[in-house]
Amino acid sequence: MIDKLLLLLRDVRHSRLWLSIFRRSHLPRTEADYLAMNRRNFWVHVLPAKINRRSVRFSYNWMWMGVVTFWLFFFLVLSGVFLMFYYIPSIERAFDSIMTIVNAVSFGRFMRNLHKWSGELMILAAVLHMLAVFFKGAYQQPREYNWIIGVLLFLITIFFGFSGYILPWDQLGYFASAIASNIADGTPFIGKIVKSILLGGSKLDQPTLLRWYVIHVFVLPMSLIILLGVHFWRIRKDGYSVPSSLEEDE
Amino acid sequence: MSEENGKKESKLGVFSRRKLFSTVGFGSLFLTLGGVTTGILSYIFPRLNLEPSTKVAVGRPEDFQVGEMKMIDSAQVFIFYESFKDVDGNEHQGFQAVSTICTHLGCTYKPFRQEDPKTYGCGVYAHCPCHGSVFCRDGKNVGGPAPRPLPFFKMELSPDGRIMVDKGAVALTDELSKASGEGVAHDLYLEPGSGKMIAANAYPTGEGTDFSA
Repeated sequence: MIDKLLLLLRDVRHSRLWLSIFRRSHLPRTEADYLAMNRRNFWVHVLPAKINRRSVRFSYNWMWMGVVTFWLFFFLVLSGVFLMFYYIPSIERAFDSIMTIVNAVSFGRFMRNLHKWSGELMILAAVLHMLAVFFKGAYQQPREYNWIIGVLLFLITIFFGFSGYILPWDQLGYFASAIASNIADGTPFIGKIVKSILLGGSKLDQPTLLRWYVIHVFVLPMSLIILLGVHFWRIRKDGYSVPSSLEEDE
Repeated sequence: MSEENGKKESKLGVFSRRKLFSTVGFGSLFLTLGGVTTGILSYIFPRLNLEPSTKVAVGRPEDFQVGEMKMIDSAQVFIFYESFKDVDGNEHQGFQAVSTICTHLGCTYKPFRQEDPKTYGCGVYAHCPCHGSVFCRDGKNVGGPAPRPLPFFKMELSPDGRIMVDKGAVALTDELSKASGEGVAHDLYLEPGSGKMIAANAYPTGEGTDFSA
């Protein structure tokens, strides 16, 4: 029975369909096979072929805060898609639709809270990640470019938090967007233009909420995902940083 | 000789045919791209303003009682109806319209209240919950981060007898209105009888107005 099953499994593994998806006929056996696997497979290739054990230590990584930030973003996308099924970006119905999510949707309160707390923790984790990179001096050559990308990612995260804060269109959100647009107004030279872009008119109204919504669910996620790709690519290219005591051996 | 001249000219930067074509080609390509980008960017600025006019009706004079403060939500103004003395000392009743928007960052401040005059030097003042700006009844910014006094708006009676607040009108005359940068003089009242703005002999203090509501 078992050997028949194993034979069947072997047949499946050598079938045309299987080989068209996983383009190798056998598991890696030699070191050359492992290297080839590392080179061919994207998900394996994201990780470096070798790494100094000191640079993956929990204390050196500050509890893997960069990874934590990424996973929080993952959960934010997931819970955000759930919320998008019910949220209505209308100044009359936005708050009611959120009350619907909280009170009348299965797991709605959980999804909203997951979204809210992941968002807040993502900012915290990003700050800790940046502090870790800063105090380790890991922003120095050859990682300056990636540091700049990281700063941009942090700014996008802040804008995420802020635009999400406005969407319920309650007292907090309304006056937060009023204050934000007036702060933007104070920018020299471009202030008036930025304000009219954010408001979609001359005062806080329906176009304003819709604009912040589009920024929150499309513009920011797209920019974040693109920059995140560059960020990870640069980590892979520049290599992981090591404690300074080991740098001479490198 | 002529060959030599040709070489000299090309060294001096005279365009060869190839360079001319590539410059014109790439130039027109980038010009087109720039035009398209500008066109797409203009998409985020609506060309038609569907917002209501800056002139708003706030009611009829008989809707108000002397000594009343009323917030008109749609117009974002406080309407005051109170007694005042003109420059000759004659008693009148008139309206004033004060913006409800804090001059700091645009929050709606809390309604005016009778308070301890020792704190800010005026007996009636309003407090903004966002960052703690304080305004006296005459519009003066006396506390917190507010950079300018509250603007007071021009008022008039429409032919059918409604009170109109013109939020777009600017008539900067006195010290406070100049400092506020918009609106009209802070000592002007609309007298419902004559339908004209009359100057009082002093800035409003809130005396005789009921702030308990």
